Amino acid sequence: MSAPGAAALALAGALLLPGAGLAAERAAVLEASFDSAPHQLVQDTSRKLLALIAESRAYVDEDPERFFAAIEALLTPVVDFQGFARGVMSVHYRKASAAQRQRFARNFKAGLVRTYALTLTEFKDGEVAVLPPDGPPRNPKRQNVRMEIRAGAAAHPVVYSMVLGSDGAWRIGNIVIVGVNIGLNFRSQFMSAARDPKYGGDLDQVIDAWADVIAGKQPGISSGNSGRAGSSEGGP
Amino acid sequence: MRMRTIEIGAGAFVLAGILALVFLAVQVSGINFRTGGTYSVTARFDDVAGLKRRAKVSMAGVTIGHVRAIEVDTAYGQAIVRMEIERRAGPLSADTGAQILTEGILGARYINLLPGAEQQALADGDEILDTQGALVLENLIGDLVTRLGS
Repeated sequence: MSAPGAAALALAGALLLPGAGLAAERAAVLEASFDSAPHQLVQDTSRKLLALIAESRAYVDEDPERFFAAIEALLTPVVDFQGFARGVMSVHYRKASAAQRQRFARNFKAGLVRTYALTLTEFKDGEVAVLPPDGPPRNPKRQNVRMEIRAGAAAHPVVYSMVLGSDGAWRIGNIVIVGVNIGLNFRSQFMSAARDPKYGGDLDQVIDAWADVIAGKQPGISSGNSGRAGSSEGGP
Repeated sequence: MRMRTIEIGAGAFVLAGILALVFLAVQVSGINFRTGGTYSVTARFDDVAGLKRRAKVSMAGVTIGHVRAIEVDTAYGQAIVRMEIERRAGPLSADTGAQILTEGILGARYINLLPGAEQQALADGDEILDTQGALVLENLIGDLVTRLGS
């Protein structure tokens, strides 16, 4: 994904922040009951998250670390961080050492939790509705759960790709926000970063700088050239 | 005798012209006759927005296949794209990702494949599960407008 992709990702992120007009805390999960375990999981998690955000208002400004820890504790059992991180490292996963893989999984999780938590604190007013399945699941080990974040007149579609673990538990394996596949975007950002001379093709440096990579702090990366025919390489 | 040579020469020239035209048409339309050694994989996208049959499928900018068929699954509201991948490109990992991107100023859509981490390879008839459909500008603008209106 290149510059338009990064812009779309930023836009998708921005869209999740509802208008700050009404400060009233009216965020709610529209309740429905589902037969399917993944749908129920997404709904339960959303409800817990909103409760956590409401509760955190009292302390988040003084002690953001506590909020991050609480979010992490909530997400750890329901998000397949290992698989997510593996998919982002993609080809580099195969040649990475076990230590590198672990380090990246840790950095990736921390980065994701922070970004996610900071976005959530802005979510004050709106509704979250888990939509019923479109039809019977096509794949016994994967299911998509559609959710809508409604803020004012706008409804922003979010799709969770749920994967069935070998332990029989469903976990969130990827997320698509307003049509932007976050896992795939991270994957191409990782691949661009691994090619970027800034990091000298050193996997360790990319892993350590991951927070900067996703924040797009490196101009050479935000314009990533992830294998596009005829794209001009880098800057001016 | 001399007349015969001219006639044959003219005939050969016309024939060569026709062959050149056929060759040109084949090259421009992108039909690939090297059918030996392709396999097909499918992928579902939320939106293919102008992706056409015979659009190229590439990885890292290298064309490794083309789109064979595009169908719609009305039950799920998704497009199913079947593509032919050349075997000589080597195996694709089972968790390969597919994204629809735009090429050049004419804006032709193509599919870019992002390699995955899995050792296991995609086999004939398998599905690519991780996909990113085309980002339709109108949808993004629509989102922005409703957001401003809220």
